[in-house]
Amino acid sequence: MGTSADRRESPARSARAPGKDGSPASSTAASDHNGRDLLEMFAAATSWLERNADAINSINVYPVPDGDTGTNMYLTMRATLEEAFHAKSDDAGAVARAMARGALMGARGNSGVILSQILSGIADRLSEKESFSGSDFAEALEAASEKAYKAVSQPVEGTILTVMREGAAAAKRKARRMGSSLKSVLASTVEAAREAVSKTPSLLPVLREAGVVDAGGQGLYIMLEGALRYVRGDTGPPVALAARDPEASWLAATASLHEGAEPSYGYCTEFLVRGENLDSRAILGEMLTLGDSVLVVGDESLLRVHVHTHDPGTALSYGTALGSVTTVKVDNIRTQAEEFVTRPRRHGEGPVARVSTVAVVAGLGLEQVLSSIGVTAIVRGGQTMNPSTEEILAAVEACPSPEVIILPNNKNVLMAARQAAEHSTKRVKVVPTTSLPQGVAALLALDSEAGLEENALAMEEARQMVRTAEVTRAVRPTLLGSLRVRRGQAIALIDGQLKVAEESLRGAVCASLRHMVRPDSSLITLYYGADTSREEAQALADDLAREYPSLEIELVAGGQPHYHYIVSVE
Amino acid sequence: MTVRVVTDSTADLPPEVVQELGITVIPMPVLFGDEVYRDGVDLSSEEFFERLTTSPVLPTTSQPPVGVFLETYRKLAAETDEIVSIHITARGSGTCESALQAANSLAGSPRVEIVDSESASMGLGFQVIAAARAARAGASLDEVIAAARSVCRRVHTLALLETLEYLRRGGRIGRAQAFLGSVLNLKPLITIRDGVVHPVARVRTRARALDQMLRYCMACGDLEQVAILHGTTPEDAKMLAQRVRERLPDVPIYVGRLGPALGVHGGPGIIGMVVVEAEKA
Repeated sequence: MGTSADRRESPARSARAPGKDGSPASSTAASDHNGRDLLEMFAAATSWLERNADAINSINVYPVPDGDTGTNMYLTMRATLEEAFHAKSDDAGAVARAMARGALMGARGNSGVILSQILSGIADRLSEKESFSGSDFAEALEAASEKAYKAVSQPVEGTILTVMREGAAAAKRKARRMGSSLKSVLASTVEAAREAVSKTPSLLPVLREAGVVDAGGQGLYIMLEGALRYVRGDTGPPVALAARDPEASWLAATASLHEGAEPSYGYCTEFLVRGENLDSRAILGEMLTLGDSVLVVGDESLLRVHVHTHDPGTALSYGTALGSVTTVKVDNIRTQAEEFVTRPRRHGEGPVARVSTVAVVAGLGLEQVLSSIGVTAIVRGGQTMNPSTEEILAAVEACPSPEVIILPNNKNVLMAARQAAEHSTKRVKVVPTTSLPQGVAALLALDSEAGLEENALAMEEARQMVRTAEVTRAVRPTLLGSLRVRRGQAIALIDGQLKVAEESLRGAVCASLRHMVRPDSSLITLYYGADTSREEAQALADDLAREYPSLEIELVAGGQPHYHYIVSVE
Repeated sequence: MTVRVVTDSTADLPPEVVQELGITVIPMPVLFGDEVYRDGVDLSSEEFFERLTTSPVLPTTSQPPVGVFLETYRKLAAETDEIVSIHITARGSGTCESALQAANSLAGSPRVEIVDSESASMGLGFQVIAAARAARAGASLDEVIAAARSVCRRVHTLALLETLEYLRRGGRIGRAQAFLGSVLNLKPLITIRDGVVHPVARVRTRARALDQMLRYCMACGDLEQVAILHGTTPEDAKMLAQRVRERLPDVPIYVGRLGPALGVHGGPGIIGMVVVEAEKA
């Protein structure tokens, strides 16, 4: 069937003639789609998802700046596609399995993990098939739905699960009745998914109150729509890149920029710019004045930029002057070389604990806090606390001990942490910490001479003794229960529940404390974030000391993104 | 002829007990710059802790000179042929070494056996008391030593510090070095095991740390004796003693003050608990 290069370049499958309108073959012959089709369908779905990622992020139920379902699903799909491209196969089963593998390791956030289970279900059903028909795909969607439900310990309707289930049901109905073209099956799926998404507020009260549909469900619907667009041939304007394997070639290009012999300094800065009449040459020239290792790819409406510079701020400002900047990534090149694992300072001859600990953290100060308590390894959560399963797994495997405890420190990292635990060669437990203060308490409970079970128990007990408030500004208005929130108001999530909306950040902190402080409380810790000045934080701490004279107040520079204050009470 | 028991002032023995059991206590030198004080003789615990916080120079301790041991043993030789000399952990002090040198130079007359308590404060003190009681009851040299060793195996120490700074600067931080460098203000709990300081836990507030101390000690099994020692916080010591008394009404509890020798290394705010497990039948 020609060399792999041929297969990659020619859009039409050599075994069939393209349809008259130039769209991919859409005959009603059964089993006429192979691995290549499957991959291209999902690549199109991912492209479409990427274009809409921001929109999906913005409908996160809680109006917090790090609501990132869209990004998480996109990143999960990116990892999925990378693995599938490497498979270089026309065999549908092989591609499906590769996708499932990629998704499993690359899954970020709870939505990413559920997506990986969906892909796993599809792979299960297509595993033995070299090519598949519309009805095969319908069955695969059904398997995907079942697997997705199984992945969640307490399935909730009105989420991505509902959308998956109803989409799969519609697919199966179509496949039974009207013959099995992939196009018609997909069309029914997308129709049903759209319906299901719009129904989610009626199933989940918190969505109705917030005035949004479910973000994960929306993400899935958009992916299915992207796949349908591809199968129909409405490709629309090309997204970002000219090459057939967009992600692979981007990664290859930028990877080669990191392989130079000279150690690089400064920040590896990447971003997307969406605009009109974008001039890639001009942007290239501009970036070259800021640094080196420049790569600019795309067209006049969407450009992807990569540069190594000491001044990422200027690079980004240049971008925002041209259009809307998204998917920003800024990494310190020196520390990027250490990948995702940071080893804490060893304090001389400290005893090596029997059980190693891996904690997910976002914020340099918070990293230091945990390092100084003796965490074994840190996984950087990034701007939106969304490390992939693989990143967590790598940290676990790198630990010196055969027994490891993972502290996710965020609700949205829990599933990825559990996946990592399951796939590790070591004995691993996840202590389900949902905030950094819980992580601190758990870590302090570590007994360096006790074993895995004993420590997991002690850490679980310890984390329950802390109450946490996360204070930030609302990125959009919302209504939760009787709480009406305006955009820009200072809000606080108390142990994950939005309970406070005030005009000022101080006000939100004080209101949170009124919720959290009890007669037996003895300590308030105030971790101030990257957006808060030390002076401001100190002034607040001084006020709190006056208001709560019988409690100790501890002020810590956390450096966390988005959350101006993280407050804990014990 | 009864065996005589000798120890050093780091044992933090209550004066009445010293008197009653005829124990000989050799004072540790405490140095503030070039001023040398003898712990318990020229400098009381109270005076020491007051000076600790105001002194511009950090005080240090040193082992008693060999000559002092010699003098002590020679004086006791008038009353006995056999002496058991029990001292602070050899891994934290040169005291046992000095004692041994003195003993060797006496060439068996009197016979002096040196015992490394592998502990400090009342961890040492309880061993001394057991030895002295046995000696009082007419035990042989070997039996006296055995009595001390028996307690050595059953003693547990726990100390709460306000800071690790003093331990670190005095060079006795041992394995608790692992606790250094915390960003958070954590109160360290340490123990002495195999003669060396070991880390036990770090707690976020003193109140919680005191709770934890109580729990750890209660978890040591059936207790025969308890001692609670403080440096500058008598109220905390009293409170702890009260809580122990509630749980163990029949166990003798001694509340006292940590001597300067240990105060140098623990710093103000130090509070210690020593318990002796009952012998298993």
